[in-house]
Amino acid sequence: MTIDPSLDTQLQAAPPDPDRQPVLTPPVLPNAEPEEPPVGILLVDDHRENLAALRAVLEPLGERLVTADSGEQALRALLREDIAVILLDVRMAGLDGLQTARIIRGRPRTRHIPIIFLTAQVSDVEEIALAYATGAVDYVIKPFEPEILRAKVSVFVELSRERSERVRQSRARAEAEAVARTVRTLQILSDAALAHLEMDGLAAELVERTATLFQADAACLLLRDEHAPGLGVHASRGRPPVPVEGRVTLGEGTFGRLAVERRAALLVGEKFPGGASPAAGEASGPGETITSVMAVPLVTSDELLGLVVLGATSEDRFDAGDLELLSLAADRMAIAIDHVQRFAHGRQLVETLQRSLLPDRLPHHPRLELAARYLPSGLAPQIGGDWYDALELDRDRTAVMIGDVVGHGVRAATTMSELRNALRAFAVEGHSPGEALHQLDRVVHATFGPGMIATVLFLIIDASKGVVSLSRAGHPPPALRTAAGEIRFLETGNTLPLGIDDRVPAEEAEYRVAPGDTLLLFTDGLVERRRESINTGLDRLRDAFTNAPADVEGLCDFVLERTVSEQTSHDDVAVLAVRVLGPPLGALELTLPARAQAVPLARHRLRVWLDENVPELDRVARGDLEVAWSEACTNVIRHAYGPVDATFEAMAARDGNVITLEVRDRGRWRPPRGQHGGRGMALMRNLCDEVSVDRRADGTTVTMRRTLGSDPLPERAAS
Amino acid sequence: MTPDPAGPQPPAWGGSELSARGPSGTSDLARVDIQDHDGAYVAAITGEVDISNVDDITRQLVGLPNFAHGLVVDLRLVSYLDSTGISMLHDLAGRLRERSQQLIIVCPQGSPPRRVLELTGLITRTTVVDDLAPAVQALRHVAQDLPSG
Repeated sequence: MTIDPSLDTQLQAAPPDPDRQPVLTPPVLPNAEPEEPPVGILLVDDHRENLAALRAVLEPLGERLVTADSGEQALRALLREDIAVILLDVRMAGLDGLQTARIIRGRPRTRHIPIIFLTAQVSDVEEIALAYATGAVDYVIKPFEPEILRAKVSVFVELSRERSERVRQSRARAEAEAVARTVRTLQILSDAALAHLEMDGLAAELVERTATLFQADAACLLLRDEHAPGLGVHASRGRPPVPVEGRVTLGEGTFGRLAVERRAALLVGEKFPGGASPAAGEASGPGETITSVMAVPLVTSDELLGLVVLGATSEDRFDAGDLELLSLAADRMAIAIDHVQRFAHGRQLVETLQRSLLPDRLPHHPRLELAARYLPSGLAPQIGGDWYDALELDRDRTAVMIGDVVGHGVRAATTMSELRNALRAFAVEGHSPGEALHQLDRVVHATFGPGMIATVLFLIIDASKGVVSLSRAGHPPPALRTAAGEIRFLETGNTLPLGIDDRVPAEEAEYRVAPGDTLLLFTDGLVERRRESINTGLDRLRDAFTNAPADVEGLCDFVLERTVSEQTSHDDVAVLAVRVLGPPLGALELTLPARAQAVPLARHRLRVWLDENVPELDRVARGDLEVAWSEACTNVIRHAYGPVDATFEAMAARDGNVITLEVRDRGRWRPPRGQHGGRGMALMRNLCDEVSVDRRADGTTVTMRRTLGSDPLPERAAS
Repeated sequence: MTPDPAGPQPPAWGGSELSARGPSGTSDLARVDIQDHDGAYVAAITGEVDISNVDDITRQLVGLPNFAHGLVVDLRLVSYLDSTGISMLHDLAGRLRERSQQLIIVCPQGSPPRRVLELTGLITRTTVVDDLAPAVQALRHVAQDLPSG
C-alpha cells in the first residue's frame, strides 16, 4: 500500500459520457495474453471528468472498464457485470462511497470483490482503515499518480485472475469427484444386486446402501406386488416419509403421482411424515422431521416396478446432482429387482409344475408309514428329472419307486411323467420289480430311442410277510435302518440304467424287513457333490440316517438338512422313507373259521377286548360296535366263500378315541342274495362314523371306524 | 292290563319235534319259551340272536297252531339282535299275515334290540310294544273281533 499525499495529479479531461450509463469498454490496448479474457474493472465517481481521467489511466491495462457515476448505479452494475476490482470515490452525492462499499460487502455475490477507495481527504483514510482493516481493500489519495494507480489495479486484477483459475480448477476437481462418486455409487448398488437371488434380501440391501451413499436419514423401497394394488414398502430404514400403512395408491398423493408420471423429484421445505428416529410414536424433535425428500421411480422395459424414496432432516442435504445420481442408480436397481422378480416367478412356476408331476399324497397302509420330499435345484429355475411314487398293490403289498431322468427342463419332466405312469401300470399288472423294470426299459427304447438315460429303483414291500423285493436300474440302492439302528444298503446285481441295453434284464433281490425297520430311497443329488467322492456322500448319508428321528416326516427333513448344503444344490433331490410298523399295540387280531359259529365267538372276544381297552364305552355304543362287527363277520360267512373250509380275519384297534374294526376275507364275493346283505350293510353304515369296503379279486376288507362320544344317529337314538 | 289270571299254560304244540330238541334248541346262546295265554301265544326269547342260532329259533317260532290268533314275540330278555334276527322277524310277520295271524313284538325302548328294530325300519312295518300285557291284550281283542272267535 502506498500513501503519497504530496502528489498533485491533475485529472485529464475526458470526453463526456453521453448516456451516463455504465459502459462496457473493450480493451483498447490488448496487451494481455490472448488466452486470458479481460476482467471487469468498475470505476465509480460522480464527476464525469474524473471517470474520464481514470479511464485514460487504466485503459493501458487492456481490461474491461465499466463506469458508474453514483453509488446506486455502481450497485446496479455489479448485478449485471462480472467485476474483478472496484475503484470507488468516497465523496459522492447520494450514496457515498463508504455506504456503497458496505452494501457491496453485505451481498454474498460481491462480498469478495476488492475495492480501491479514491479520496482527497486524509480523514477519510482513517475511516477506511477502521472500517476495512482487513480484506482486499486499498485506497488512493487524490490527486493520484497514474503509474501507482495502474500498479495497484493490476495487482488486484492478477489476484482476481488467480482466484478464478482456482475456482475453475476446484470446479474441475469437484466434477471429477462427482463422476467418481457416480461410478462408485452405481458399482456399490450393482454389487448389492448381484449378491442376492431373493427379493427381501435385495430390497433391504439396496435401501441400506442407498441411504448410506446419499446420507439419507430415512429411506424406503416401494414395490408393486402381485397380491395388492398400488405400491408397498418392501424395505425401509429410519421412518420414511410414506403413509403409515406402508402403501401408496398409484395416482394418489405425491408419491402415487410421481410413480404414475414416472418422474423423479427433489422435494424441499415441506413437512413430511416420518423422521430419522425409528422409534414410532415418539414426538419428533426439531431435527427429526423429514424436510427434504428425493423420490425416483424404478422403471424397466417401460414397466413401473416401484419407487425409491430418500428423506433427510435438513433442507440442503440433497441437491440436483444427488437427484441425477439417484436416478442413474435407480436404473440399475430396477434391473436388479426385475431380474430377481423374474427369477422368483420362474422358479415358482417350475416348482409348481414339478410338484404336479409328483403324487400329491402317498398311500396309507396300516403297517407302513411313508413320507417323501422333493427339493428343486437351488441355482436355476428349471425342472428336474427326479421323481418318486408309491401305490398300494393289494392289501399286503405296497409298491415304492424312485427315479432320475438325466437332464433338466420340460423334456426331462415329460419323460419322467411317462416313465412313472408306465411303471405304475406294470406294477399294478402284478409284475415283480425285476420284470417291471425290464418292461420299462423296453418302453424307454421303443418310445424315446437312444440317448434317453434314466435310473429307477423299484421296491415291493409285503408288510405282513415282512419281505421287500427290489430291483434297480442304475439307481443308488436304498438304505435300510434296522430297529436296532444298524444301517446298510440293499444291494442288487446288474444295475445298468434304462436306455442302455434292453436285452439285459435287471436282477432282483429279496430282503427281510421287520417292524421298526426304515427304508430310505433317494436320488443321487442327496449324496453327490462336485469334486467329492461318492463314498464321502454315502458316509454323510449313513451318518445322517443313523441319527434321524423315527417319524418318517421328521426323518426326511433331518436327512435333507444334514446332507444337502447350499453350495451343492445344483441338482434336484428326491427322498422317500418307508417305516415298517408292527401290529397296533393292544389290538385284537382274530383268525376265525368262516362258519356261523364264529360270529358269537368273535362278538364275545370283542366284548372282552372292549372291556379291557375301552372301559369308558357307554352301553349304546358298545351295542352298536357289537352289531357292526357281527354284521361284517356274518357277511363274510354268507358271501365270501363256497362250502369249503376257509378262514377270515377280524381286527379291532384303538387309536386315541377312535375305534377301528376291520374284517378281511380272502374270498371272492358272490352277488348278494336276497335282501339280507343290504340290511346288514345298512346297519353297519348307520352304527359307525365311517365304513369302507375294499373289494378286490383276492379278498375284501371292511373297515369301520367309530369315534368315542359320537353317535352316528343322534336324532334316531333319541326317539 | 293285568296278566291272564289263569296263568301261563304249557305250549299247545309242546309235543312237536321242535320241543323234543328242548326249548333252548341246540344252541346255548339263546332260549325260546313259548306259553299260551288263553289263545294268545307268547314266545319269549332269552339271550342272543345271530347267524349261528337264527335257524333254530325260527323253527321254534313257526310251529304256531293254526287256531292261534297270533303270536307275541317277547324280546325283553334278548341282549343281542342283528340283521339276521330282523330278517327272521320280518319273514315271520309275512308268514303270519298270509294266515291272517298277527305278530306283536315286545321290545322296551332303549334296549339294544329296539335300536336295531328302529334302524332297520322294522318298527314301522310291525307292531312293537314296550311291555307284554298290552301285547297279550291286543291279541285278545283281535280274537274277539274275529267271527270264528
